[in-house]
Amino acid sequence: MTRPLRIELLRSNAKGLALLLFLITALGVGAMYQFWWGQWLRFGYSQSTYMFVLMPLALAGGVVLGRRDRRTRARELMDSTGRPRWQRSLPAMAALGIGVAATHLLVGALGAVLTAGVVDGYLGARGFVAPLVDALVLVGAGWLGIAVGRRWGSPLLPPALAAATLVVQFAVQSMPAKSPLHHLDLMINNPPDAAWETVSTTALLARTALAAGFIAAGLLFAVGTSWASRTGAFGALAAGLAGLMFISAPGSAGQWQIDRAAQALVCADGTPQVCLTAVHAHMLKDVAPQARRALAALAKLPNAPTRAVEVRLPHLGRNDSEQWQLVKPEPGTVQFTLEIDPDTGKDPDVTDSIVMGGGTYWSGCGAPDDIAMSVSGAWLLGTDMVRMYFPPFGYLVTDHHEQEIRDALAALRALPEQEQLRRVTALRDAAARCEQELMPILTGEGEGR
Amino acid sequence: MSRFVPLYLRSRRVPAAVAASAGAIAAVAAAWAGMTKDAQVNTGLTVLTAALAAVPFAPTLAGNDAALEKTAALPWPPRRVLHLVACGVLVAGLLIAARLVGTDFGPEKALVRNAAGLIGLIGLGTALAGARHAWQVPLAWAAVQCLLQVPGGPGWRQVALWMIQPPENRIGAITAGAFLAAGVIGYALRVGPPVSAAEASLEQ
Amino acid sequence: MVRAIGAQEIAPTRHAWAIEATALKVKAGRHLAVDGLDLALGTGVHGLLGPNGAGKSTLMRALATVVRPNGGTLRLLGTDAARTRELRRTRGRLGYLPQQFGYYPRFTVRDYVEYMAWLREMPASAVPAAAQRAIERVRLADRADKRLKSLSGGMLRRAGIAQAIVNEPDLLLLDEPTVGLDPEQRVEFRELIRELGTEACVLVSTHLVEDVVAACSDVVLMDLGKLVHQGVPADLVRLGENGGVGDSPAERGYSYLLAQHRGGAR
Repeated sequence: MTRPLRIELLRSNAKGLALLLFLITALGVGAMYQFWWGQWLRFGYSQSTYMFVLMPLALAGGVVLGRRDRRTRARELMDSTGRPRWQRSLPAMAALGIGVAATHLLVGALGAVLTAGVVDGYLGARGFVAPLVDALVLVGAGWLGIAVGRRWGSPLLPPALAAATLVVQFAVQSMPAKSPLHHLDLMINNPPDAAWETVSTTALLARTALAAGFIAAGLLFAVGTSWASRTGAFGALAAGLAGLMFISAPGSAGQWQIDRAAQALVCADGTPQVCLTAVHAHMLKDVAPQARRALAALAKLPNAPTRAVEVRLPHLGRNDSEQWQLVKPEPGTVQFTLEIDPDTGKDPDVTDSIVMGGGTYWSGCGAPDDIAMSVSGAWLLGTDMVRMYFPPFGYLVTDHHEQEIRDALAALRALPEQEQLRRVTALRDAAARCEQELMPILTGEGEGR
Repeated sequence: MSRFVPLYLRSRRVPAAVAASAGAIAAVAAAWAGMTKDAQVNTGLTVLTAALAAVPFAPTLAGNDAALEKTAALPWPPRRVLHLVACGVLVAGLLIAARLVGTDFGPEKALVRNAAGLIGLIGLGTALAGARHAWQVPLAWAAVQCLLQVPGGPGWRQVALWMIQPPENRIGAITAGAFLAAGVIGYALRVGPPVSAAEASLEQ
Repeated sequence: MVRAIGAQEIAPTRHAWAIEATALKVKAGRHLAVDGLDLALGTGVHGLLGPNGAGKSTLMRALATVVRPNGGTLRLLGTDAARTRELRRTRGRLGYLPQQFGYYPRFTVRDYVEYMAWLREMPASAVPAAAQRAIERVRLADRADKRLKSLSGGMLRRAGIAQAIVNEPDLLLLDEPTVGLDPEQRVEFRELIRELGTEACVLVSTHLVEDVVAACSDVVLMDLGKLVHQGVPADLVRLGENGGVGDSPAERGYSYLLAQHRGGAR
């Protein structure tokens, strides 16, 4: 078996198909690098979402290989040999399977190397399961293709089948999200919102069902000749598709779940304490000094916080910027989020964002008054401006309200020092109590009410 | 001449390709009409339907025996150009005609651009790699564009995502035109890598 | 060359004839191409002659177990060809070169021969040496690692012969093996089959009467699905003296026999 397998690996279209799949994934995932750089779980999403094109191509590659016997009229000679039919099919099927699976796993491994090897990012064991399941789906699709190519020999079939499979996936996208047909689409339409979200068990099971259906149908159809095995093949295919449709759950909740290990806090050495989630821990070296500078600035106020930690959502992300400001901090702790600039891979505003409002920007009160918070932040840092970065819009607040902030800051600094400190402290305490009107506290307009 | 055409079309399995192409568009149009009340098909599905309609023509670009065809006294290049362009016209025409049955695949400009570019890529693929492999790049490219469906951005990005640009976009139109030109010229000059005598006797 | 010998190789043969057909009927499509053929062939080189449409290739396909007989009995190396389950061992002792033989263009000669050896269920350890020997016997050793699609017609035929003899078959069926071979190669080929014919039953279907006269120990002539004549090649030469058309005595004998048969049938 090893010799014919080696021959098939070298001479069949398995090599070419593997190369095609590799190029598509590498180019496609590469085009999204800003989204996943340093984030293994997000890399997993990028790779997995390309399954919608990899699967049809594996299917078509299988059809090309399956047509080979007919195209070259090799059937007659093969039929005079003693090998049973199922054994005769094995080398080609194994070669194609190895080709597509190895390619998919290789891309996954490259992602792991780029994440852990280059930027020392987080790798969770769970992140390896999705490429493995997807590789099985590709193997199954290839085998099913071989079976189809053996049975129907038109040269039209490989392109037509690949294109039709793609079109079906796109057509079902327009169905209502609750319809089970919607899940036939292998493209993942809701990317993970938070960096610690990983593919849910439900989604993995659904794809495993599809893989099992494909593999069983391919084997039964390619190897069996009897009516029973053909009926079984159709049954297996239908069961696989049904599994994909009915095990999958709609929306983000069906696709993602929180990876607790990825969300666990990792703290930098030294004091004061600065902690990030495990998925961002590789940025600690860069973030910790900036956060400590912010903590030092906050210490100008009485009862200042003594540690800074990254905000952790207790639920799946809802693609809503305010959700981050609804998580209450622990006492004595200032919270912040990381907004990573895709061009540099760094967060450009750690210090500035922590000092906003005296450390109350993420205090569990929802969206605050950005202008008053900016004024108090700049006052604390002793600078004339704080710049908060909002990807992909850039420095949103300062771009629109720069003059307002400068004027308010100048007015504040014109007051006696004791009064300045009193007003900023009052603003911080009001913000922590979730009061909405903050600007009057700085201008003194609220006095005497 | 009039007797040559049907024989030629049959030798290239064109009737089956036309049936597959038209059938595919009809199926998508019918499914769309059945599924939604929206007359306008979304961009991703439009792009993929164009690809689905174009790829069946790839295998028609080569006959069973290239060596035998080479020996014919008739000049092939003009005929090949005509064949390729006719495929493109047919794809664009079918997509536009779907409007008659109530399914709108979008503005004509975009449909013509996408059909022209896809057919050009198929022609170029046939010239470089042979008709059997010509469908892979255009189909995969169309699929990836559907995933990264964001028009605009820097010039290279508009070139890479030429099919999903708005119909008036110049870069997208120029890209598609360049593919069509390259495909027509390439296919006129060459039909795939040379096939050895031993392989020529095998079916396409 | 030393190799392990399996039990089945030293087991005594329990059959008188390698090919034994009685009232054999085989269909090609709907048409009954072999119609009541009686034939018994043992060790030696047998030439199968006959005009186009005589049913030669259909007979070869039936003998190669590719198509099942539609009537009569056919025993190959002592096994009934209708019993598909029992055929597996017989097929391992069979070598076959179809008239239009299929091959994967991207395989090299060695890949192809080794792959066919695997399909004929040779022990894995014996495959590389057997393939090398088969390739050498058809004088393709210098092309062994070239892809099949790069070979000329004659070389391709020889690669086809190499795959047919790789398992040292007891029953070797060659359908028009000399097509595309140059005169020198044909002489070498005759030598090769004479050598093979000392231990195995070799059946060569051909249109070239000279090949049969030069290389075969036995000649079988068929027409319209029936056996016309079975004898030694010298018979053909002798019968040629009676008349018939052709440039050599054997060709005249061939056409004389056919004419006699057709006359008799009428």
